[in-house]
Amino acid sequence: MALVFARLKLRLLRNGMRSSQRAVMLVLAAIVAMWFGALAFSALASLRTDPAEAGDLTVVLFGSVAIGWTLLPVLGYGSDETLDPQRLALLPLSGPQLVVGLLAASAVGIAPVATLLGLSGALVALPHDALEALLVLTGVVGTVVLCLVASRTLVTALSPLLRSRRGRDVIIIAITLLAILPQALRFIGPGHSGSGNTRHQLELAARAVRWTPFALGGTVASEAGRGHLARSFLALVALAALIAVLLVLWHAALRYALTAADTSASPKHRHRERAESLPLFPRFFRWLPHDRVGAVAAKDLRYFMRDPRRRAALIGALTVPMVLFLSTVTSRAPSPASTLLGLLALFPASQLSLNQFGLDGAATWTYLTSGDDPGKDMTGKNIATAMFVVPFVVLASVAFAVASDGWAYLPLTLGLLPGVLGVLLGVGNVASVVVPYAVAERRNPLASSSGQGCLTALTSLAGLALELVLLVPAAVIVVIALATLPLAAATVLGVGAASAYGFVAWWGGRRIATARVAPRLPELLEAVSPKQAA
Amino acid sequence: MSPPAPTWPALSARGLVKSFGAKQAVAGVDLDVGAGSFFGIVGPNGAGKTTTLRMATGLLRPNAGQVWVDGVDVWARPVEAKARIGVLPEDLALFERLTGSELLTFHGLLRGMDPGVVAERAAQLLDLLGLVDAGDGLVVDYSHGMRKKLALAAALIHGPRLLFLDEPFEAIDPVSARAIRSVLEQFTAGGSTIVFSSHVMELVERLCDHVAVMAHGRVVWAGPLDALRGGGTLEDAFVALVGAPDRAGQELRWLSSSHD
Repeated sequence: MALVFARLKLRLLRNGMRSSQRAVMLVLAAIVAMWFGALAFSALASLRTDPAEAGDLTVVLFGSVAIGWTLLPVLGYGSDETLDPQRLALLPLSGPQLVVGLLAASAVGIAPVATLLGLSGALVALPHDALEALLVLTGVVGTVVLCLVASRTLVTALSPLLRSRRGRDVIIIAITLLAILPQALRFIGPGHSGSGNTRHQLELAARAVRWTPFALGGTVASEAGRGHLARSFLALVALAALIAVLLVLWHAALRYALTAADTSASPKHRHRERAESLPLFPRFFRWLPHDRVGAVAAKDLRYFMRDPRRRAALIGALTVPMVLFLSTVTSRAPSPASTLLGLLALFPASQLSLNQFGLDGAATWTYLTSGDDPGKDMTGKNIATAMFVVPFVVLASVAFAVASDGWAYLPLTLGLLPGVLGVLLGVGNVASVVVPYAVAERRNPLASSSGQGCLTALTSLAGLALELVLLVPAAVIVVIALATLPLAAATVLGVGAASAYGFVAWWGGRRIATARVAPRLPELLEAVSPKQAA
Repeated sequence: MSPPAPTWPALSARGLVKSFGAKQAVAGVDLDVGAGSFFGIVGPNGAGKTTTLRMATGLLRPNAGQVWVDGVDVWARPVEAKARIGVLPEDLALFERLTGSELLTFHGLLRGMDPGVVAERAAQLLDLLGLVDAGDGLVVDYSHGMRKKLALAAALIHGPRLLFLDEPFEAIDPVSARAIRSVLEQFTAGGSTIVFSSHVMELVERLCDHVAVMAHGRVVWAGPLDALRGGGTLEDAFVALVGAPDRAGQELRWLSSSHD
């Protein structure tokens, strides 16, 4: 059974190489993974001359690798579809057969091999005789098995949550929050100041985690390397027990996942808003024109509130100003001019507008069949984005003003807002039609998408670079005005110049984008429609 | 290419071609659909039905050929042509984070309709299709049948002259199918035209007055339904036209024998 599953996995990996884009991604992933593996291997192996440090590093490294393995699939990086137990639900397999088969299949892959390679460095560094070598080897293999079992158990245990739309929405948001947590912790946590003695820190860390579940494999190896065979053996027994417990849990979670009822909600009644206005328009936006522009704006505003992907993008984008804000607050004497940093809260606007039609996906056909007017659609989308981000910017600017006592700069900050926003939206409109791409509608937020992240990152980096370049002239004017004039005069001049500049940038960007996309709407639809999974 | 006729049919296509890479999905389709007819396009999976409909509605650019709606060239004057048509696409990609009534409002306003008319028609359509209770729920939580009905309502809200339906009855429960059918019958009774694709022969037989049979990216037969089926059933006529490989000799003997 294990062999059948392992072969299936190999076959799927090989078939994945048929698409050239995916093949490139796979090869890149393999190179990166192997490079990290080799790095860990050589780091461990090079400590052969220093047994104490080698032992500490083994414990810490093994422990963090196991934790990483367990959490990464939940963070949205690579758990693979081939192992979706749902697909095997109809096959007459017993629970243990299924567990063994899935375990074998998950052992076939780039990441397990790279992990094994990295951890094997301990085999070079630690043992002095055959018995110790054997114990270290069990520690290494045991840790790899622990990685596989722990990650699969957690994903399987979460999978019933993925069945309901609401559960998936929650997980998408949770993933984003988890992903930005380390950034925030860096500022709050004490390890912020880099003390030079890494060796001492390593020793402390190793002592702290030595007998924690995830580090047990490392302890098996390091105690063996020190000649404490009894302790090593004790850790080995504990590790085996841990794996056994996880296997039992996994088995139970599998049985539950395969037979639990589908909990997808039936349509829920929303509170009916008062019927004075059309239902499309949110409460505070009834004033929007009831035409194509207003309809698109209202629809996008609804989407900002309801679409988890947009909310996730927003949360992610807001971390940048948050981090800067925390560092401003914690610095001793912030300059009053740092109030201007409130404008950084515009960053999400840039992120959300670079692929505006991609976020609509296959539903973009709606714009096409109802008469082609991409210029109006973009205006509507721009209005929605502006409505949505401006409150954040005002809030952030006031927060910075409070923190830096920079009230004098608040009018300038808020005055520059329309100009900067105009540049961002202008670039966003052009990018949306020049490099539109499909945003995968992920049924399962825990499954990885190949190549998607890379493309998204490239587009947003290029877009950001262009935005910064275009902002330079406005920034130069403002800086010169601030340097040569009193603040009030500089404010008036800077705001006037930046607003005019921003308007031209927005208007020009929209014009270029419209001219470019109007004759190519079917091609735009094709570009943003997610491809059927091959 | 010369335009089809002095008095324009509701839909005409001449020499439509579409290839995806090396694969030719539609290999030269000519089609005329008379005004006021209930026109069915039938064909096996992969015959090019969806591709043809997408080209006729301005969603997919043909490699060659022309399409006219009421004499308006869809690809030369798209805005005018699209004002006359309603579309129910096969994949039902809707803005699913809107509620049903919000979605209908959105479709109406996109077409520049008067807000008052939109509100009135949206309420009527939701009522007619039995979606009033679900009208305040998000489309993402709708069942397949409810989505089809809502998509049909969205295609009808501006009162098109010509309605394109791609597989409107696929995976639909009988109650929803009846609701959809009664709406469509009302629609054609007013002199409007329906073009729809399906591989459910019984439905085509019951609803359509004209049919086109597609296979391998071409129209292999088109005309009045009765002329096609003669005395027999549509299914027999269809299979005879499209051709099904005769494998009657190769029996799976184990399938009919008892377990041993």
